Amino acid sequence: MQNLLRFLYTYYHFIIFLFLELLALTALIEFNNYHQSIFFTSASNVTGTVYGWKSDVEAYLDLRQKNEALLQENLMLRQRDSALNMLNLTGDSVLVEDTAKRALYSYRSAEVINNSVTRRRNYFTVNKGDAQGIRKNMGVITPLGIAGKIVKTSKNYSIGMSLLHEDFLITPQINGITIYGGMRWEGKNPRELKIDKVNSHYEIAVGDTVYTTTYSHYFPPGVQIGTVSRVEATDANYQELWVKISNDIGQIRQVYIVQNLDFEELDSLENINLDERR
Amino acid sequence: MSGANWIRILFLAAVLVLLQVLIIDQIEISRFIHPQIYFLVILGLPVGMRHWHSYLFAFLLGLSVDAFTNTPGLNAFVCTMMTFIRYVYLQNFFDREWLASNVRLLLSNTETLSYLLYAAIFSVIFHFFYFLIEGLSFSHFSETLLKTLYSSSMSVLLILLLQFTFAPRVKNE
Repeated sequence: MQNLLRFLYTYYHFIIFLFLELLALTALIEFNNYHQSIFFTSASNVTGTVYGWKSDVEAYLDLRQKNEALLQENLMLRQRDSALNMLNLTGDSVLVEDTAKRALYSYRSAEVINNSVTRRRNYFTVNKGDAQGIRKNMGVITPLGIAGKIVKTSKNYSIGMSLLHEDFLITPQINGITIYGGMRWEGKNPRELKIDKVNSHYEIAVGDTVYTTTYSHYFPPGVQIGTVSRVEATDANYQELWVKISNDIGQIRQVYIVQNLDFEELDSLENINLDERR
Repeated sequence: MSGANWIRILFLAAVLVLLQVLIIDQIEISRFIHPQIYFLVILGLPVGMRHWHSYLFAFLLGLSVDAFTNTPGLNAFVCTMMTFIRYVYLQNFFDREWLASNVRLLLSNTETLSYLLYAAIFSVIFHFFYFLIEGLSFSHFSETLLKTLYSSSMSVLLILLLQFTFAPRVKNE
């Protein structure tokens, strides 16, 4: 016992060092895997506020660009709107307002107040949180395409996992073909995603547009992700695709947060253990 | 260590952390260049500071940067590790008497060349552990080395620049 005490006394500096290192590693691994800890993230009050100030300053510097982007989006929505309202008088059907169906997605606007693209696991912070109805697992999109999904919320801020995160996996659709196996970022070029092992009988060409599918519950189907920038055959059966992201993730500022109103139902249904009756 | 000394160090820490997260981290040059400079606070801790005080200080300093970058534990780990290696370095290259003093190792009170060596060694150590732990695997090892090389060169430049600009002009008595 005395020996133990003497040992502890002699090496207490080193023991404190080891303890702190262990604590740090545990926190890091826990956050990377489960995103549970709310402390020491950019959604906390202090860091959120500081980033809010920074964002306010930056916002003045690109007002013109932001206006331009909004104008473009308005134009697109107006065109879509007028196409929907046109009555097809020559055909045998007429478009009417339908109250029997309900919306599957709801949207909220938010602003990205901090962002990174240089790490292997990138996150961004948005200026809305629990109090504004933001929840975990909501998708984040911009007029140009998808940007990420919410992984963590605090009262007034949320953290989104960026499309540029090693663990962000999404099932894409190209030319109407759903590509299973998924698409992810390789951790290198912040403008490019990669799709491994695509059957080589799918005819995919450079320039084809890549969309989301119903397989991902985070995003509505048909939202643009990017365009195919490179196709390489790996062997006789498979090819690899690179996709140029339509968003410049490093520059995103105004975003929409998409809520799939059926998310919980879908999620709990899919997580039921189908083998449990055995 | 006196209260005034603590206040000076905490103030320096706050300024450097904000400089790091609000300005340097926002600059995207290349994915290989991601320089950290806030660990300059650790390099300048008084050499006679009790070891566990500085471990705890380094840990909290790292954690405060982590809070901004959504990497809880990464900077805390690397800062604590660097502080440990710094003590090994100091004990091997300086005499005991000097180490018991409250001197802070700065560019202004050290020979330029030996300070440059000191800053370069710890910059490399810091960035190496940083990128290694960030990847959490050895599978990107060559990339880790490249990132370490580019980022630490940039970081040494910035550190020297900061010291030339702001360091107090005191000579060692």
